Amino acid sequence: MKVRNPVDRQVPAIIIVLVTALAPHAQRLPFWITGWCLLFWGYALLGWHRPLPRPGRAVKIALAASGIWAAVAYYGYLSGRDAGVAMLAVLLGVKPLEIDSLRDRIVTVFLAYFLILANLLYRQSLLMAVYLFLAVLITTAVLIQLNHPLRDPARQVRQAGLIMAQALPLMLILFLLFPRLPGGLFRLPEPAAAQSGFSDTMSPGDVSSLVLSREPVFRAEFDKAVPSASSRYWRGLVLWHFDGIRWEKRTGALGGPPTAVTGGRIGYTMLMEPSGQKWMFPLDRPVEAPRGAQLTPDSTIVLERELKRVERFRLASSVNAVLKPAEEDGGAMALELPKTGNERSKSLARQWAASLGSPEEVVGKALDFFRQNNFYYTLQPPLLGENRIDDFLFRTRKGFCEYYASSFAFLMRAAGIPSRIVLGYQGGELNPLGNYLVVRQSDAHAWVEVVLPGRGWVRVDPTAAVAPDRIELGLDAVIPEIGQGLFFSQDRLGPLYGLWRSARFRWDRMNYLWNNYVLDYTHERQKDLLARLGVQTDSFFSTFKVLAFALAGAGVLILVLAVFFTAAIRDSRMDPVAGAYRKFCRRLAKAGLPRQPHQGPQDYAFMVIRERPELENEVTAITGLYIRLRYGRGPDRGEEKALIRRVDAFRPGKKRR
Amino acid sequence: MRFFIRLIRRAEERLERAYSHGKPRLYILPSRFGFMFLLVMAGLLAGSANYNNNLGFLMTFLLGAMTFVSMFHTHGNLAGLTVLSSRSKPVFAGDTAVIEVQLEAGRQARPSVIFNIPGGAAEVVDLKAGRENRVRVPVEAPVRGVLKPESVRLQTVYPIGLFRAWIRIDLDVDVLVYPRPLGEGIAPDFTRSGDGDSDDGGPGVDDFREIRAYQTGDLPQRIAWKQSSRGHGLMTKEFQGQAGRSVMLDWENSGKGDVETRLSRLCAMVLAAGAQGMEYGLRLPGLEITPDTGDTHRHQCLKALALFRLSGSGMGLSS
Repeated sequence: MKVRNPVDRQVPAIIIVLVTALAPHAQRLPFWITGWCLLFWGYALLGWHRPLPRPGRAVKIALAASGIWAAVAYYGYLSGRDAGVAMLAVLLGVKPLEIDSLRDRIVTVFLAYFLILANLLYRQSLLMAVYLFLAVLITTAVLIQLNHPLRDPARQVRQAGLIMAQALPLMLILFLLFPRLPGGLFRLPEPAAAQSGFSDTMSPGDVSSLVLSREPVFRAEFDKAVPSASSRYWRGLVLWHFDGIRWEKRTGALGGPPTAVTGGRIGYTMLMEPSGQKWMFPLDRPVEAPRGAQLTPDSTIVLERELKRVERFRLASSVNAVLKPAEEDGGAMALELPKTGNERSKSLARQWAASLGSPEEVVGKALDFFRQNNFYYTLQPPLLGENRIDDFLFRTRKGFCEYYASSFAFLMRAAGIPSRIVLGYQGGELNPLGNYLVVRQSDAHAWVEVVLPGRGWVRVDPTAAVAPDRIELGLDAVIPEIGQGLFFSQDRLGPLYGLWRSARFRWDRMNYLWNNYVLDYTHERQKDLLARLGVQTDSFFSTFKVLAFALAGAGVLILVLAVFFTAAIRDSRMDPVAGAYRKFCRRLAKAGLPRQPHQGPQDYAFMVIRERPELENEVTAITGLYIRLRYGRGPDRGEEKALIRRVDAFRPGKKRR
Repeated sequence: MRFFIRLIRRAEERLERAYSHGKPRLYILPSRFGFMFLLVMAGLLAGSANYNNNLGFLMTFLLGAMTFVSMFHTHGNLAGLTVLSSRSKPVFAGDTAVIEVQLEAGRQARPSVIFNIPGGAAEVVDLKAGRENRVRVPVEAPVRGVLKPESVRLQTVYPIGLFRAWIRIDLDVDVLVYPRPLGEGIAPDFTRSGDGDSDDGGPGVDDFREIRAYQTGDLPQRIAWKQSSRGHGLMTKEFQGQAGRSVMLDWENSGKGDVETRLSRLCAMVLAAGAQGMEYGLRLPGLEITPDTGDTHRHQCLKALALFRLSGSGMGLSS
């Protein structure tokens, strides 16, 4: 095919597609691959503008080979999604050096499609969906440009948008009705997901590193009232062993699930983001585990497999549940301390235990110690020496939840009160638009549980003693520059802050709906939906049947609408002259004088006049106008109007006998 | 009920109109890239089903639905096109004939339609809405006589190239193909000696009359190269020499060789005589055209040569 456009717009269009395809990968790809791509794409753009030396075949092959070699050397392996994406990016980097033929150009766009679709392997968020739809729109517009270089880009984007808009209903039907399988098609293993959130130990700095991220961990929607801010503790892991620096989980399962639950049940639905980990974060304390998970003796919930996609869970908790310690829990493990070190703290705790009567009083004393000694909540604590607990309690007195939880648990154990550390999240932002809580990584928290006689395990949060606002209002209240960042602070934005806040709520609400209705659209929910529509589906093929019926129904509907509307539109608006003449013929046909296919307007008029001489004036006038407008000099608004007026007034009636 | 009957009747009317003028059928199939894209989507669907990736499902169905919709756009880009007329000018054998096809595009513009007559190059055209679409489709005319291109093929992949629709529209056009001119034209003593082969000189240059624009069939040695190089197209030198003289170009004097060669020589003679402003006539076995001048006469003579001894040469060729 010949290139008809002297200024070939296709090269920049293809570069736009390539940049669109590469953009979301750029954050993951090594810097040199992004640079590599931009270098060659820039060269192609320059070459489009003015003649530059074109690399020969050998050079192109050498470039591609060296790029692949570099990618293999960088990744050390060839399989896997990261290496695959890198390989594709490297090849697409040099591809624009070879886009002379239409075929090469279309192949380039197709390869870009692969890179765009590779994003599906990484993220499924609403933001990603928005990106993918935009990318498909741009790519389609460029495909149109490739097939029709003359039209201006704006019209090509419009045309692509039209095709996309027309495709949406069909997409929706297919999405809702295409049969989903409970366990996946081939049950191939999924690629490992990146892990986020807590690891299974608590080392200094673990929580504070999470706190900097605004990524949502989960969203929880409650059946009834949302629990008050001070009771929003989301329980993740329980840590028992302390070696002086790090807290770890206990090894080996002890005892059965906790028993003796009192207090009202709170039912809620949790929509968890993929973390690549097994633990859930139920509201403290969970009373039963959802399907595919179990309740541990530590009153935590552990999933049977890692969470790799957005999933929804039904949970039940009881805020004032009483947890009786198992026999073993009160034993040595909850009192275990490193043999040496932190002697000053140990002696302080022993002194409290000796002078005070009950464990409750010791707990109160320790909290008072935090309150009254100028402890300060900060995310940048000073470095601690070898005896970390001593150093923190008596020297620096600056730290965040980890520090307080760790030292408080230490004091309790030294005072002979069994204690353990709980890791999880505290707080959560209520979205007024959906009445659900969104909990982010920045809500990460650590607190302590102690055994009190007759009350079992009781939650104590030493951080609340130091920074009560952290518990009631969240981290932003204590350290405003964290989280939303400096730019979006209330001081900076002033009156715009309200707008920003509501936009943020709206966006989060859309994410929630996306996660809930799109990403978590599973086999069970499809079944429920069809059951609600009155169709029982018990097998893969019965769902297929529903899909086939739905598609056939939609097809018939569209056909009927198309036939009806095109006929109606043709008569009325689009060609008034032809429309008027058709009306004229229809009226005569009703009067018993249909126009035969072989009759031209003139012949038809003669025939009508022969049969109905009394209509001669009108028929001659209308036919004359029609012929003049159709075959004469050209359009004439006045004559057009006259024709329409005359046809409207034309009433042949039945032939009188 | 009456509403539905009316709907159905309208649909029938539409169908009838679509096929009433002996209109050929429109075909549509995925293009090479369309098949490739279907494969990509099949892979995407399998991956989405395996990992229960709902965004993957959504993208699969978006792309699938867009492909499906684009099929109707591609189909609509050709559907409803009507050829109103087709015509062409006579050419000499070995040249490229141009068939001018006038099309009624209906209400919508139809971008990127490829016109192609078997044995000719492809022509890419954007059709405007309405009836003012004149497309010039080339076709090679290798042999003398009447060229009857049976049909023109219209093809399109617009808008996104995943489908290719095509339609073969019958053409009602005859292209008159004159014999290919051969030889030097007329010997100065043609009428006397009757020996066209001994031509070696041509008319004297003293009789030069004027320079005029080149016409198809002018002899190469008459081209005024110096004047032509000034960028106004080819120019031909016209000679007065034989003006006023009357010649009879006779089959008997067209030299040796087969019929085609002799017709080609006669063709060159007609052109030469016309170019020199001579009054000339043509005598073929069974046909004689009395001497005359002018374009109509020239065409009449060339037409007689073109149709000489062809079956059905009596067909009513106009123009």
